[in-house]
Amino acid sequence: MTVLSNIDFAIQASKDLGAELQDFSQTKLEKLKSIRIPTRKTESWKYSAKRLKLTETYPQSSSTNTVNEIDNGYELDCHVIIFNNTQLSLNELGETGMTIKPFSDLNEAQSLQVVSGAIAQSNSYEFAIANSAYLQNGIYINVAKNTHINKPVKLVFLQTGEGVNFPRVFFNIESGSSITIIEEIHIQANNSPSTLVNSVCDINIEANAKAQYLRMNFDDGKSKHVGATGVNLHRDARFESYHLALGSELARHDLLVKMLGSGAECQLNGVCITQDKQHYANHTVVEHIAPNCTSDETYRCIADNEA
Amino acid sequence: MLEIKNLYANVEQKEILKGLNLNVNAGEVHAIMGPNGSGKSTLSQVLAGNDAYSVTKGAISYQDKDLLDMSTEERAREGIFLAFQYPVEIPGVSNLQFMRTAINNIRQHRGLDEMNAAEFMKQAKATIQQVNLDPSFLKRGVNEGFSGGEKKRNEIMQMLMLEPRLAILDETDSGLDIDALKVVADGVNALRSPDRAIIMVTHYQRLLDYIVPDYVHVLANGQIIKSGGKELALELEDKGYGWLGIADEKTA
Amino acid sequence: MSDSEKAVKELIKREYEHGFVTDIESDTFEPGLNEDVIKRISAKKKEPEWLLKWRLKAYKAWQEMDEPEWAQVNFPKIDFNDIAYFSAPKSNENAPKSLDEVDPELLRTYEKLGIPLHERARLAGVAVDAVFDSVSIGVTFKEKLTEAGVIFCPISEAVHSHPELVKKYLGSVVPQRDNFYSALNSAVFSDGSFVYIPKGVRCPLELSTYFRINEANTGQFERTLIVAEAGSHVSYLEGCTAPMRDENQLHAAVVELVILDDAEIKYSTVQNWYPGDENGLGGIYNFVTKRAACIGKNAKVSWTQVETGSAITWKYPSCILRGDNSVGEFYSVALTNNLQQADTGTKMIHLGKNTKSTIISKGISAGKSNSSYRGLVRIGPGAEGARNYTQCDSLLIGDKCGAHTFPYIESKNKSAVVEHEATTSKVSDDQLFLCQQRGIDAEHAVSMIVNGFCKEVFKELPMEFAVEATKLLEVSLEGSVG
Repeated sequence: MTVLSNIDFAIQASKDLGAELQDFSQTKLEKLKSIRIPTRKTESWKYSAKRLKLTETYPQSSSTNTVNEIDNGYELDCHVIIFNNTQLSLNELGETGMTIKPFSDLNEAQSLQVVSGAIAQSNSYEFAIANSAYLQNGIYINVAKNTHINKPVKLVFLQTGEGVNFPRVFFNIESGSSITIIEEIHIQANNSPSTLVNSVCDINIEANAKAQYLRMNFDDGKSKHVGATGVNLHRDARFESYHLALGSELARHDLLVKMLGSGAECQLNGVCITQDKQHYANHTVVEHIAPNCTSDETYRCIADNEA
Repeated sequence: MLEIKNLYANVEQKEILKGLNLNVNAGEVHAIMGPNGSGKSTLSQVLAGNDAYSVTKGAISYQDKDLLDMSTEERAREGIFLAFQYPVEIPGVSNLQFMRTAINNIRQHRGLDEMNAAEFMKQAKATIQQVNLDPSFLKRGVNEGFSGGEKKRNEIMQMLMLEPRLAILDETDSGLDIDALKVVADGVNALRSPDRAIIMVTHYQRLLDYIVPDYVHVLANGQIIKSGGKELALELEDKGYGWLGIADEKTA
Repeated sequence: MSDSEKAVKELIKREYEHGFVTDIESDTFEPGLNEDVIKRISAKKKEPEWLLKWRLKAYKAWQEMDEPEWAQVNFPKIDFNDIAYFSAPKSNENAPKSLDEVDPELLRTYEKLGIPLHERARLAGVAVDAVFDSVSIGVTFKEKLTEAGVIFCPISEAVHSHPELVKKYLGSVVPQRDNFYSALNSAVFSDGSFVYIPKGVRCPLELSTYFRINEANTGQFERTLIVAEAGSHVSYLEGCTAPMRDENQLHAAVVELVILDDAEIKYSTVQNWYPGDENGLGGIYNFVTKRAACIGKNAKVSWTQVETGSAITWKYPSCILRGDNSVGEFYSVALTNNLQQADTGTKMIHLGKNTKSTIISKGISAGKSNSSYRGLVRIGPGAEGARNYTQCDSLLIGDKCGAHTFPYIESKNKSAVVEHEATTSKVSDDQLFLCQQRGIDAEHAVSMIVNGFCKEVFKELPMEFAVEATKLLEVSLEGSVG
C-alpha cells in the first residue's frame, strides 16, 4: 500500500465537468499512481508522517441536509459558501461584479483558468494531487475589473462524522479589484479515525488587484485536515494572508505564492498554537520570478506540553 | 519648460526610446500611458539622469538649458523630481535626515539659507500627515520595512517637501488601494500651479479620474504614437492597446 | 566611466594625510633580536632587575612558541631578526619638564597630527601622553590628576615610581604565554601608558594617548596597564597615526585593564594606521592583545573602537567577567579597503553570576579587501543568569570585497541567555541614484549611508573622537559601487 492511489477515498472524479477539467483530473489521477504515501523519509513530511495514519478505505461521507448557517463565535456579515461533506450549498448571495459558479457550469476559458492555478499546476503537493484526481464540484468565483467586493466571501469546509471532504475553490480577481476571502474548517469527527478534510484553493490575482485571505480551523483538536492554497500574483498585485492555526491530530497547510509580475507584493502572517500532543505543519513557498517584488513573512508559533 | 526632440536611448545595449518627441509647458499635467516594455520608465530615468541609460541621439532642453549636459544632482537642484516606480530602501539613514539633507542642498543651490531645525520639523510633520503616514515613519530608515503603498506615499511626501518645478511620477499609482490612491492624488493636485509641470507615467487609467490631465500621450515601441485629451485614456481603457495596433509585451 | 562612478572614485583618492616623516635623529638599535638586545633595552630604560628577569622569562617562552596561523589573513612570513626593537628621538636625553621645554620640532609634529597639545589640553581638558616612537614625551595636566590622586604616566616611569603596583598587575590579565605576540611584547615592550585610579575616584579628565611609528623597521611594542580601584571611573582614548613607509611595520601591543568592585573603565580607540597603498604594499601589521578583567563585583568595562587602517588587523579586545554582576561591552566599526585584511572581533568570558555582555560589531568592506568577524561568547558553568546580546553587521561596497563571520557560542550554564543577530547588506547603485535625484551628490550619499550604518557604535565614542571617526571613515573610503 505504498502509493496514494491505492487509498480508497470513496469518491470519484465527477463526469459532470467540462472536457478540460476532466482531462485535468485524469492526468492527476495518473500522477497519483506514482505518489508515495508520505513516510518520515519524505522530506517535507518528516515530522508529520507518523500522524497521517491513512486507512486503506474510507467510508462514504454521510450526506446530511444542506446546512445554511455556521456559528463560529464571531459576527461578520459575509457571503457564505458551505462545502458540507460532499454537498455544496450556495446561499442567496452575490454582489455586483462578482460571479459565482460551480465547476460544472464553467466554459472552456474559465476551466483553463482553474487548471492554471498555482497549486493545480504543481506536482509537489501529494494531497492536492489527490484533490485534483478526484475532482468533483468546486466553486469558481470571478471578480470583475476595478470592483471592490464589500463583504468578505467566507468558505466553510464542514465535515461531520466519518468520511472525506475534498473541497475545491478557484478565485479569479480581475485587474484593479479587491476582495477578502475567509476559509474556515469545521470538523466534528466524533473520534472517528476515518475522517479527512483535504482542501485546495487557488487564487489568481490580476494586475493591480488585491486579495486578503484569512484561514482558520475549528475542530475538536483530534482531527485530520490538510490544505493547500496557491496564489498567482501578476503585475502590481497584492496578497495578504492571515492564518490562525490551532493544533490538531494532524494539521498541515501549504501556501504557494508565485510572483509573476513586477511590483507584486505579498505579506504572509500566521499564528500557530499547539498544545498537549497536537500537531500543526505550516509550509510556505514564495517564488520571486519577476523583478522588484517584495515578500514579508511573519509566523509566530507557540508550542506547549508535548505538542 | 521641457522640450524633448527625437530622443533615442538604450539600456544594457538594448534600444528602448526610438525618436521620442514631447513638449511640456509650465502649468500643464501630462499623462503617458503605454504597454509594458514601451519605454515609459526609460523616459523617466533618462529625464532624471540615470547613467545606466545612454542617450544616443536627440536633445532635451529644460528651462532653455541643455538637460543632457547636467548631472543628476544638478537636475534635481534645478527642480526636477522623480517619484520612483520601485523606491529603494536605505537602512540606517532616517527619512528625517535624508529629507533635511536634500532640502538644504537644494536651498543652497538656490542661494537660500539652510532651513532651521524647528521649521523643518514642523513642515515635515505636517507633510507626513498630509500623505496619511504616521509621524513615527520620520525616524525610520528611508523606506525601511515600508509596504508598497507606504513607499509610494513617502515619494509624494518628499515631492511635497521639495516643491519641484517638474515632477515626474513613474507609476506612482501602481499597487495602491483606492484610499492610498486618493491620498496620492490629493498630494499631486495640491502641487498643481501655473509655474509647475507634472508628467504622470501610468499603466492604469484609474489615476486619471483623480488627477485630471491636460494631455494624454500613448508611448509605444519607443515613440509617442498618439496624443489627445483625457478622453483618450478612457478609450484606451475600454478598447485596449490593440485598438491602436500595438501589442502588450508581457514583462518577465 | 559613469558620473556616479567618477564621483565615487574621487571619494577618496587623496594622499594619506599623515604621510610624512619627522626629520629628527633617532637613537635606534640595529635590527635583530636576542637576549643581548633585551638587556640593552632594559638598560636604556634603567629598569630594575625584576623587570629584566620578567622580560627574559617572556623571551624564553616566546622562543618555544609557534607563530599562530589560524587567522583568515595572508601575509609574508615576518623575519623577527629584521626588525629594530628600540627607537627614541635623541632630544629626549634631557627629558623636558614642561611643554615649553619640548623640542619645537616635536610640537610641530603633533600639530600636523591635528593634536596641538596645548590647545587641546586647554580647551578640552584632556591630558595627553604622547608616545613618540618608543619613548613617551610630555605629560600635561599632571597637576589636576595629581590632585585627584590619579597616576597617569609612561610605564617606564611607573616601574620606578610605583613598582609594587606594576609588579602586582603586569601580566595578570594577559600572561606572557597567552599567545605568540603577547610573549614577544612582554620581552621587548618599549613603553606605553600606566594609569591608576584610586578608590572611589572619578578621573576628572579624559585620558588620551597618541603615538606614531616613525622609523622604518621599528616594531612598536607598547604596553598599557590601567587599574581602576573599587568605585573608580576613567575614560581613556587611544588614537594613532603612522607615516607612509614601504616596508611593513609590526605593531604588537598588549593592553591590560583591571577593574575592581563597582569600578568602570571606558576604553576608546580611533585607529588610523597606514593601510598600505592600492597594491597592499607598506601598511602596518596590527597584531594586538587587549583584554579587560572585571575582577570585582559590579565592575564594568567598555571597548569602543573605530579601525580604518593597517594592512592587516588581528585583534580581539576581550572581557573576562569574573565579578558577579560585571558588565562587558564591545562596540566596533572596522573598515577595510583596497587590499586590507582584518580578522577581528571580541571574546566575552562569563564566569561570575548575573554577568552581562553586549557586542555590536559593524564591518565595512570596500575595494578588494576582506574582513572577518570572530567572536566568542563563553559561559562558564558557574555563570548563573548570564546574558549576552551580539549584533554583527556587514556592509559591502562594490562587488570585489568580502565579509566573513565566525561566531562561537559556548554555553555551559542552563540559565544563560545568548542572542545573536547578523545582517549583510550592500551599498547599491539604486540607493546612490535615489540620493542624487534628491540633490545629494554621490560622495555625500555614501558617507550618509556608511554613517547611518555605524551610528550605534559612533554614539558610544567620546565626542571629539566621534567627529574624528566620521571624518576618518570619509577619508578611508575609496568605494567603487556597481
